Amino acid sequence: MRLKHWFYTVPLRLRSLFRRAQVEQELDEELRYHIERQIEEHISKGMTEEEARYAALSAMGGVEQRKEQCRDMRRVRWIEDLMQDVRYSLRTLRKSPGFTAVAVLTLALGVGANTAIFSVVNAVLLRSLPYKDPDQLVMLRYNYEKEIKGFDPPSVYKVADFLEWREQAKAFEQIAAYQPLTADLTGSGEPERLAVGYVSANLYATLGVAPALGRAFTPAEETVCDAPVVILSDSLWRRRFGGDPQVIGQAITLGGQSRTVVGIMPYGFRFPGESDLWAPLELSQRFCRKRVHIQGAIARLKPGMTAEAARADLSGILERKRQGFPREYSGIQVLGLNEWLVGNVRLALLILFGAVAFVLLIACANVANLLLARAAARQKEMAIRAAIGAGRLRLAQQLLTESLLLSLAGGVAGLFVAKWGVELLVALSPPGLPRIDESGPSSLLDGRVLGFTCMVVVLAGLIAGIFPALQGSKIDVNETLKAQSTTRSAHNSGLRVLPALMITELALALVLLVGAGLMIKSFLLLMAVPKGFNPDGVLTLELRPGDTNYRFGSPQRFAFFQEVLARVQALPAVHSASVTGFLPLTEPNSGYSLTNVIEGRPPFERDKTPAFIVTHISPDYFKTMGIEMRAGRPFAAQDGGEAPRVAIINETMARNFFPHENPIGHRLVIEGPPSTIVGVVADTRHFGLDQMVQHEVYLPYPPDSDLKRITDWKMSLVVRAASGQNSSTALSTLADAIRNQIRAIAPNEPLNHVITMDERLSNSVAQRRFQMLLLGVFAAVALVIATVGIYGVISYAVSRRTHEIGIRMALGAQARDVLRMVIWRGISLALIGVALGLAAALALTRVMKNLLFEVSATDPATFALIALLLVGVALIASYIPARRATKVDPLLAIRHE
Amino acid sequence: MSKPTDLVQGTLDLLILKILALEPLHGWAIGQRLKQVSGDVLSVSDGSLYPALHKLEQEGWITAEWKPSENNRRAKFYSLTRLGRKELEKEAANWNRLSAAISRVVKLKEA
Repeated sequence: MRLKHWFYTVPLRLRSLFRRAQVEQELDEELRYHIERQIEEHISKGMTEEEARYAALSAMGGVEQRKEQCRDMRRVRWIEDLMQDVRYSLRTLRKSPGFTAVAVLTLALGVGANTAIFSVVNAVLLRSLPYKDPDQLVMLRYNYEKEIKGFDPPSVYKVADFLEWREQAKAFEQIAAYQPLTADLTGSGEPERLAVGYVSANLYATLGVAPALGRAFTPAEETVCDAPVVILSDSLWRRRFGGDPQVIGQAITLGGQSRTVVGIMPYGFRFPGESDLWAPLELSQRFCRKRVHIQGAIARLKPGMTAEAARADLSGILERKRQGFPREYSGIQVLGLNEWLVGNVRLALLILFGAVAFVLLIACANVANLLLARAAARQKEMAIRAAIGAGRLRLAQQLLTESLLLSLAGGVAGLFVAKWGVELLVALSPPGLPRIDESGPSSLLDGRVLGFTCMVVVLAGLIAGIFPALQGSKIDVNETLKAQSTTRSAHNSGLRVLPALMITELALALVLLVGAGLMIKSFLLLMAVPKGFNPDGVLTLELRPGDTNYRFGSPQRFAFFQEVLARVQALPAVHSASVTGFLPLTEPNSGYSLTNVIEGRPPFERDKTPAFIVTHISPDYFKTMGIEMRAGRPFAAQDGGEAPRVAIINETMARNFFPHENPIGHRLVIEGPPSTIVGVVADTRHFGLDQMVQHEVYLPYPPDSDLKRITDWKMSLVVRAASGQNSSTALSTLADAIRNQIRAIAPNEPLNHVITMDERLSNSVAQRRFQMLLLGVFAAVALVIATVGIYGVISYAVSRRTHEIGIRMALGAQARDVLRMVIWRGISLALIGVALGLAAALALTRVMKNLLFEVSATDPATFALIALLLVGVALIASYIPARRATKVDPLLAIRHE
Repeated sequence: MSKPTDLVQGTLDLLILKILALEPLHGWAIGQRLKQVSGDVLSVSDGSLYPALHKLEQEGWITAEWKPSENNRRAKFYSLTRLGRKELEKEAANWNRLSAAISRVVKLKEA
């Protein structure tokens, strides 16, 4: 019934709208026909023509009113009104281009910033992962009792665990394992170090992603040792092999081993992490003598199974195991994949999103300010419109149309701001921001983002426009039209809202500024942390010769590093060079947790066993890194190898283990004969500036043959440039020279990662810097908009009070008094805003506690400084209009009435 | 909106629909026919006829067509649609019920 009804009525409505001229003409013709027939009728009954026309017209009762009634029947009145409002708004906005430009720009900034941040939030937090039913995917992880950041404790039981889970766990459809490592691609072209995901054969099936070309690994390939197959990522395939499908079936050399390419994954698939290619993970220990580690396990839950049930399932299996190995782990985590991927950036992103919403609110308040001031100036116009029959609703609708148009224009401009902003965000985003690049940066602005923008535009238009519309349409026709000049009607209640808006703006800006201030202070404190080393003019390069000639721990491998050192040290621009097993801000080679590490002491209680990092270094390491000796001596050329064992410890270890005695001369027991402590060095922030200093033991490289643990699978070359050679050009020349020296003896070693220690340091704080930068930019934008707002409100108030100021000056007020009066007005409002803002900031900054470093979320110094800053800004923003007020010519001001 | 909120308005709709059910007519003729059929008892002011016609047209109950009239000039002739016929049946039934009820009340004997 309804539908059939529309079938008839929709065409009629459309006709009324789009063929309006014809419809009007027909209406006119229809009524004219009626009147003419009526006249003929009257004449035929004996009236004169004059009488007949009069009678016919009066029977109709006003042709124009009837037409209007007929038009009302068309039910498209509201659309017509809307069009009229839009046309009228466009005209009025065009007539005041300054106002329009400021309002549109303000809104464009607000909308653009919101869209840009939302597009990142969308890509990182909202968009579903590019896997089949991603909600069913979970990560499995042990809870270790002792955890050293960035250092996974040795986990020899893991493969066995994994196989047990795979056999016994009932909660999962599939469980896949992976181990991300690196390996060198050699052969054709420059040697390159690639991220290799060693994965169980069912990883792709678990994620529900099939290779785009070729095949996945087969279960047989995970039960043999080093099955010589490999699957390429789309990006590596395109970059290195020109996207040639013929590469399938060809052999490549990876880590010195020849492997056949069997498949290519679709674009965007890089799991785990940012893998360049994949190789099978050997899961059968029977065939493989080498120790296989599993760093991660990912599983697909059976339909209807929850992560909690899966955890209980696995814990049951683990419980049985704990009886055998009670101290290794304390439980197991089952985490949703999405949570696992973005868990640690969620808070930061949400805070940024909140901050940018504040920017938009401030922008809206500012536009509302402008609209209110304008509405006050347009009172006469409104009164006239009311007098000729526009209802209050109609007036409000007109004003609201105006603000919505403004926000629409702001939204369109904002999309450009957003596009540019997104590009900037992607360029600036720290390496750790997951998922941002999953499907290319251009896809960040997708349908959901556009929908969000539309919503923001409408909301902004309503928020900015609702107050001005309500105030502007509240018109006392008589009073307004009677008043000679608009300056008199200062009782207009709209003006009472202005200060409230200004206070709101200030309070919001203060919250943002405090947030940014806390971040900046954190960052400054972080940069001021004593690093323990001197990064200036230091070049680093990770060396992992993969050739079979240099087996781990072999004299040949040591000889290789010796040769590299000798060649590099011979370069003229080099101050010193050395190799180390553990470069600050990278991953360590080995760590220990031993119960009786100090000779002659009772063993530590089991749950108080200290963990410490062991680093093997060549003699010049401390000199090269600029790490200061606190006591004793550095290693010498004769240390290491089969010479009597010696060790150097860091200050933290000296303080904790030898609080009341000199550690030098004591002996540490680490695998084999004890090592005599010969020196103490300064603490270094090995794991990052914001991380705790660990206990550290340095041992000379090469170790003796009693030390079974492999220490030199990766060694970092550290080179300090000679003094005066540490400009960036000098360093890059030096880097080339170093590359040439190494290439001469190891042509297969990738050399593209020569990187200065300063860059490493900078990368390690990239995420904090990114957050600080964004929050800082938002706060700065908020400050600018709010300043403009204060300035606008005060200047407006001054212009309305010109008359009053004129009278005061005529009565003898000095310029000083006027200045004080106007400025006091601004400051008093600012103080209220600051007080409210401080209260809000106290409540809100708590959420960013985890993003801060050594700064309390309610840091009094930051709060005080920002409050002062805002009061200062308010002072300046009021001073300019106040100065203008003092220039008022009393005669002119009074005569103006 | 066919809700008979005020009786006169609703009744006018019914009358127009009924007259148009007999034959398509233009506005002036509808007014004439109404007077003539009701024996001059029901006469609609010319003014309220046209808004009512336009409303019925917009509801889709009647449809209009420009045709030469009996005096050979172009006039807007209205005719009933299928929807309009249904509406007429509904309104007529309503009216019959209402008028019957009213006349029963009116015919009550006074004690």
